[in-house]
Parts: sequence; C-alpha cells; structure tokens
Amino acid sequence: MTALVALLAAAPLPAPDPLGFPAAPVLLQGLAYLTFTLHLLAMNFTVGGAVLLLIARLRRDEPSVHFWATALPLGFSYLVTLGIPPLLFVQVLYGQLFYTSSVLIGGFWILVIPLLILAYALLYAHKLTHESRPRFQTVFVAVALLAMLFIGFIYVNNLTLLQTPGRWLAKYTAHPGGMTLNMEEPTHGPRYLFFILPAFAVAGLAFMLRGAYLSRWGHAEEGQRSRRLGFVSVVVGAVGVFIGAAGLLATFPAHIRTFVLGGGLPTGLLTAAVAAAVVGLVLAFAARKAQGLLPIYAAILSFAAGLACVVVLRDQVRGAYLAPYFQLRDVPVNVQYGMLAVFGASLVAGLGLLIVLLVKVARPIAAKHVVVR
Amino acid sequence: MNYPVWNVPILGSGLVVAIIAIIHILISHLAVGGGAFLAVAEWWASRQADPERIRAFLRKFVTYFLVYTTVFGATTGVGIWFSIQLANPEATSLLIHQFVFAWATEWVTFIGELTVLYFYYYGWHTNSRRMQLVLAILYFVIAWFSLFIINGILTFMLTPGGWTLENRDIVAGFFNPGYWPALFIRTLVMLTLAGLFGFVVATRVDDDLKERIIGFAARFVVPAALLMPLFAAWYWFSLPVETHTMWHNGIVGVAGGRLEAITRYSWLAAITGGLIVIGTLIIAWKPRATTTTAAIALLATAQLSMLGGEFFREMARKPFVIRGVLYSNGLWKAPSKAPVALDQPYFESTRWEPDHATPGSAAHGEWIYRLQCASCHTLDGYRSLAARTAQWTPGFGDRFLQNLNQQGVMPPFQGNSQDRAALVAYLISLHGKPVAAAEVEATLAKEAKP
Repeated sequence: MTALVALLAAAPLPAPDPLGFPAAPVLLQGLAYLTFTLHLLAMNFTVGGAVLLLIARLRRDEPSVHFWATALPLGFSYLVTLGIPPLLFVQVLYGQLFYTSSVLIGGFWILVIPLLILAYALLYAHKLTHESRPRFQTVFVAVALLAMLFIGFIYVNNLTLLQTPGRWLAKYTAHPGGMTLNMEEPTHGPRYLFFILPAFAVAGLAFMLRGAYLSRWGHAEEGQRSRRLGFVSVVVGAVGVFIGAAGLLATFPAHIRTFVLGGGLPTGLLTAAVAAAVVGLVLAFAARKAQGLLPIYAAILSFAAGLACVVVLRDQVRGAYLAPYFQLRDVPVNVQYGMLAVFGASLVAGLGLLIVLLVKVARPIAAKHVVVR
Repeated sequence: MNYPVWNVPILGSGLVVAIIAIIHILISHLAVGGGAFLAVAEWWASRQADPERIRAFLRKFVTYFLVYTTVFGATTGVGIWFSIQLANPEATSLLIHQFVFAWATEWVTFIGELTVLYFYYYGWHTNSRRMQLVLAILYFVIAWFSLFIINGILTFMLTPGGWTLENRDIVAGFFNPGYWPALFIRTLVMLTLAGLFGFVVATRVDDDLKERIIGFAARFVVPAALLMPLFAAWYWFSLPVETHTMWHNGIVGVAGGRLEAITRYSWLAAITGGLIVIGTLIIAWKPRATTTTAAIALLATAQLSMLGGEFFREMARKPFVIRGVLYSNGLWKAPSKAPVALDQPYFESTRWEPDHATPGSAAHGEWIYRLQCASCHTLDGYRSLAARTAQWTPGFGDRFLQNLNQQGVMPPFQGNSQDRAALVAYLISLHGKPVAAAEVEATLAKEAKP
C-alpha cells in the first residue's frame, strides 16, 4: 500500500478535460475498437505486403511484384486514414494520459510524420517506376518497410508509456525535448511482435483472396499459385502471433497476468481470439485448395474477429494498468446528441456510397489490376 | 500547469506546427479545388473536338494530383494532429472534447473522397465517361464538405462567438462570427490553387494544347482573385477589436521602426496575392513561353501567401490559442479553471514540479522557463529569449514580468516575486554572466528603498 501511495505521489497526472466525455464511454470505446481493428487490418496488409513484395522481388516473381506494387500505396493510404478515428477516440478517452506520453517522447513521436511521408512516397515511387527502372526498386521497398516498422515501434513506446505514469517525471526532467523512448518497458519486444507478426497472416489472406478471384476469372494456374504462397504467409503469421502472445503473457507484471488469465471478460476475449485464429487457420487451409470465394472470405472474417477480440482485450489490459491512476467512470458525460446524429448520418451515407460504388464500378477495376497482363 | 511542455531547441514547438501546417494547408486546399478542376475539365473535354487529347492531359493532372495530395496532404494532415498535441495539449484536448464528432464526420469525408478518387483514377480505362464525370463531381462535393467542417473548428479558435466553457454551445461555437467569411475565402483559395496547379501540369504537354489548358486554368484563378479582397474585408470585420488594434499599431509603428508581426504577415499575404494575379495574367498572355519552373514559382508564391495568411491567423489569436478561453502556454483565462491565483508560488499550481528545483536555485528559473515560456520561445533560436532579454537588468526584468500581459501578445506571468526573481536570474544568466535569484532579489529590494 505504501508503495502504491509513493507511486501515485510521484506521478504528475494531468486532470481530465473539463468538458467531459461527449458520449457514454462505452460508445466511444466501441467506435475506437471498430476503427482500430480496421486500422490494424490495413496496417498488417501494408506491412506484410511490403515483406511479401521484397521476397517477390528477390525471387523475380513478376506477377506478385505487380500486384503488390499496385496494392501497397492503396493499403498505405487506408492505413493512414483508418488510423485517424482511433487516434481521435483515444484522445477523448485517455487524452490527459496520451498527450503527456506523446510530449514525453515528442522528439520521436513527431518523427512518425516524416517516416510516414518517406514510406508512402517510396511505395508510390516503386509503383510508378517498377516496370521502367528496376534497379533501385528493392531498396525503395526495403527502406519503406524499415520506416513502417520503426513507426510501429514508436507507437508501442508511446502506448506503453501512457499506462505507466510512474516513469513520467524522471523522463521529463532528463529529456525536455522528448528525445527518449520507453525502453525500460519489459513487455516491449513481445508486444511489438504481437502487433506486427499478424502482418504475415493478413497479407497472406489478401494474396489468397487474389488467388481465389484469379481462379474465378479463369486464371487457374496463377490463382492456385497465389493461394498456395498466401497460405504459407498465413501460417508464418499465425505461428508468430502465438509466440508473441506467449511472450507477452510471460513478461506482464503479475497482477496484469492474473487479470488476463483469471477469468471473466479478459479471459473470455483471449479464448475467443485464440479460437478465431485457429478456426481462421483451418478455413485458410481449406481455401488453399478449394474453389470459390466462400472459404477465403470466411477465413478473413474469422481472423478479423480474432483481431477485434485482441483489440478489446488490449483496452481492458490498459484499464488494468491504469486502475490506480484513472478510471473512465470518473469523468462526467455531457452527451452531444446532435453531433452524434450528424456523425451517424454521415457514416450511413458514406457506407451507402461505398456499396453503390462497389456494385457499379469496382469489378472491372479490380479485374484490371489483379489479373496479370 | 496540467501538461509537460515540449521543448524543441532552435525551432520551438510552435514553429514545428507551423512548418507542417503551411505545407498541409496548401495541399489540402488544392485537394478540394482540384476536384472542381477535374469536374469542370471532364465536362469541358466532352465539348471539345479532341476530347481524348484533353483527357490525356487530365490523366497526367490526376496522377500528379493523386500522388501529391495523398502522400503529402494526408500525412501532413495527421502531422498537424501530432504537432498540435505536442505543442498545445490543453487546447487540443479542449477542441477534441468539444468537436470530436465533427472531426469524426470529417474523417468520413476523408475516406469518402479518397475512395472516390481511387475509383476515378483506377477506373480511368474501365469506367464510362459519364461515370468519370459523376465521380469527379462527387469527389469535389465530398472534399468541399470536409472544408465546411474543419473551417468551423479553425475559426472557433479565433472567434469562439457565443460559446463558453459553461454553455458548451457547439452550434454557436461552430458557426461563429468568422465562419462564413473564412469559408468563402478558403473556397476562393482552393479554386486559385487548382488553377495554379493546372498551369504546372499544362507545361508538360504539347504547345497548342498547353495554350488552351492555360486559358482554361486561368479562369479558375482570375475570378477568385478578383473576389478575394471583398471576402477578406468581410473576414476582417469579423475579427476582434484587439486584433484590429494590434494590426493598426503595426502600421503606425512603422515610422518608429516597430512593425508588428501580425501586420508583416498580412502584408505578405496581400503582396503575394497581388503577385499571383500578375503572374497569372503574364502566363495567360504568353502561355507558350510558360516554363514548368515559372509555373512552380507561382505555386511557391501561393505557398508564401498561405504562410502569411496562416501566421496572421495565429498572431491574431495572441495571447490566446482559443481566444478568451485558453492562453498559448496552456493557462486558462477563467480563474475558475486556474488551480490557484496567479501570484501564488508557481510550483503549487503545476503538476510538473521536479524534486530538485528548490526555490532560488538555478533549476527553479529553468523550470519556470520550460513550463511557462517554452511553448512559444526558444532560448537561442526562433523567438529567442537570449536575444529578447539581452538588455535586461533585474529591475527591468521584474517589472516586465509583472506587466507581461500588457504586451498584448503574451499571457500573464504565473508566480510570486520569488518565481519572478528565479526566472529573471535564469534569463540574465543566459548572457554568460551567471546571476543567482538571491542577487536579483537583493537588487530589487535595494531599488525598492527610496
């Protein structure tokens, strides 16, 4: 108890915003979970795709190079855009903690932006020139990949520092410009692997999906090859995630480990995530050989559901870390009904537009860019 | 002090925000205006004898446009987020908690415009021309709606109107006095930029087509430029009286060698705006002689104009980041929001008191600098304090701090006489002759005696 009191006294916790929450926290959390899951899917697609592109370049596998060259800039733009809402909602929910941890590693945090621009520009440079000037293309992709991997590492540092306020004052005293990271965090390595390694699975699933469509559109051989290669990547990703998860559980502080494994919602989420991953793996195995789109879409849905469970579990774990310092229920709620309605309406309109476009124009576009010329 | 202050050597955190923001603002306006350009050009092409040649130009336009606006526009947009939360977490927090669903709605428009643009670009060879026209119009409408939203939040910071911390009236805050004139100005800016970008791409095609495209693109720039002064005047009259006074003092002060930053920036925006009109007229007059370099130079002039306009907006807000509510350094204006009265020992009101900053120590002054000054000033770079305090004596420094908010652009000093002495000692010590806070206090005590 005395240790806890000393810890709290040492942590300079900013007060939550005086305006309170603009909606019930559970709604804000739900929106954060949904959009963060989508962001992770786009991130995994792009990072994993960059690895597969590198491999394809080294193996001189032109059809795969062409596919990833087109797909990665698109994936990257959605990875950036889908990253916005989780960032918005984390600022609403945990703003006073998130801003502080960001300032404390500010020098690295702002580095995310030039790294993003670099990676994005290189992926476009690769797309626009990979047929005419092949010489530096492998380097382009490798540098883009390294930039993306480093961005992920900076994120892991910020979000672990957010939930360990006991380290804040010492960091701020020593590094006013924020040229520091949260390297003393013991869960770093496994946590990083846990969020990065699914990239192989997601990119592999995407490649299998490409294969399924190719087969459907009469390119049986390339379709079969695409599904086979994709499946190898899915297996690597799935194995990696299980290793990462085991490492994470091993390095958690005892009370967090108990929180995750001690029953209730966290244990349920963990079980559901593992089950979804296993089912996804089986479905992907089926999709490797089977004709038709159903198995591969089912595999994708299963993996996405597993990822969503992980996203919710991650936030629950954050709550457990923060329990001595801050609880969401302590913040007053002033619901903005009008603005919620505006947002809801825009979301419905946006989804409606997306469906219309997918039905009207997507197919020939997808066919043109997926099918090898 | 709720949050730690991000101390960026040489640049200062504010300049980091500004650098990212002015790049983003040019691109984001272009991203909307370019939509109008695409839509009108699609329609125009269909009425020409050689639509395919014009569409070949459009294909080139949209390739540059797509790469430029997504690679540099979307990322610097996120960059503004990153930089404002570092430079001004308190203000960012307030804006987020008040406007999060406005931002979330804007995000729907982002993802919508992105998706529509991709369908337009990647569907070039498979979509019907009619579908391409529909997509271009759709892109413009969605992109303009994103401006409609963000404009409410941007203008709120300078003219919050009827919004207060107590009433949290989002409609009053969003459609504030500066909203409509700013919306029109930004719409004109985006049309101008689309035309200027059109010039750049036009220099990459054959001469006779180049002439026609430049004539077409100039029609985006000239009307917008002619209407601009009108809306600028409307915007001007929506600004607070204090801003007018500050700007006017700058004009009057020129004779005395004192030109306020806000006045400088407004002149920069106006002069570069004039240059854009002249440059456009020259290009429209001699289209075949126009080189890519010349067209890019005109776009760079527009970038300077944006710099002037955005710095003007920032200076007009001073000393606030949200006018009348929150000072630039994170201090709340309303006493109810300030943890203690201003003249109490400073470290009692901050959560970021280090263990070793005992009263009167060198660290005491340094920490006051870090927490109260560093959000706007660096020690020896941008808005350098070493330069600004070069002539300071203890007495002058102390009086200056006591009257800090009389400057018009700075918030009040937070702290008691001991805090002031510690900061004065720290700042004087920057000039190579270390002074202890006790010495400053002793000098002040001596001066106070008749």
